[in-house]
Amino acid sequence: MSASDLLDAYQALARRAWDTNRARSVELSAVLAEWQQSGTLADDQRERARVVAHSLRGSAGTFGHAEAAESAGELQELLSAEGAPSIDVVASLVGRIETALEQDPVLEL
Amino acid sequence: MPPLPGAEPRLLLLVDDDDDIRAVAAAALELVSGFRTVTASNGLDAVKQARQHHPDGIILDVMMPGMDGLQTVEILKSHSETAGIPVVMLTARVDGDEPPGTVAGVISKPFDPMRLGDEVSRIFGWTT
Repeated sequence: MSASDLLDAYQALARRAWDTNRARSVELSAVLAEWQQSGTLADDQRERARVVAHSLRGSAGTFGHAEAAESAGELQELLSAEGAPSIDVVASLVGRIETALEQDPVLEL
Repeated sequence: MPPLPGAEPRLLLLVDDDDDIRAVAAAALELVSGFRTVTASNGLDAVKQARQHHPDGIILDVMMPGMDGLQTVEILKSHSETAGIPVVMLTARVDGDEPPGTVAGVISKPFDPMRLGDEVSRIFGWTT
C-alpha cells in the first residue's frame, strides 16, 4: 500500500468518524435541552454526557477536528469534576462543538 | 519500528470500543510500522484474544462500556498466561487519573496515527 492509499483509507475513516461525532454532538444537545427544560441535570444524564464527551474528544482529535476535541475535553473535565456544572458553560461548550463539527476536518499524514 | 528482514512482525492486541479509532490505529500500526494486529472492542473480548493469541503487547483503551480498561488490566495481570504481556493504556484521560503501576505507559488520545507505532515501541522498549 502506498502513502496515497494510506491517506485515502484515513480520509474514508475520517468521514465515517465525522458522521459518528456529529451524532454524538446531537446527543449532547439533547441532554442539554432536557436539562434546560427540566431545570435539573440528572446523574444518569450527566454520566451519559461525560461518556459522549470523552468519545468525542478522542475521535474528533484523531480525525481532524481539533477544536471540537478541545471543547469536548473541557466538557468531559467539567462533568467529571465535583459539584454542579454551570448550564451556561455547558451550553457554550456544546455550541462550540457543534460549530467546529460543521467545518471540514483537517487531515494531515 | 519495522521488523528485521526474515523476522516475524510483532503482534499487537488493540482494544478500543470506538470502531473508527480501532480501524485507524490498526491500519497505522500495520501499514506504517509493520506490526501485525488483532483487535477487540471490549474488555471481555480482550482477555479472550490475549489468551488465544498471546500478543507481544496490548494497547488498551481505558474508558469502555462494561469491563473498562482498568478492570481488564487487573484480569490480564492476574492470569499467569497473560500477566507477562506488556500493556499500554490509550486514553483521553482527565488530569488526575493515574494508570495502574502494572502498565508500561500511557498514550493520550487524540493521537497521531503516523507516530503511534513509534510511540508503542518506545514505551515497550522495542528497538527491533
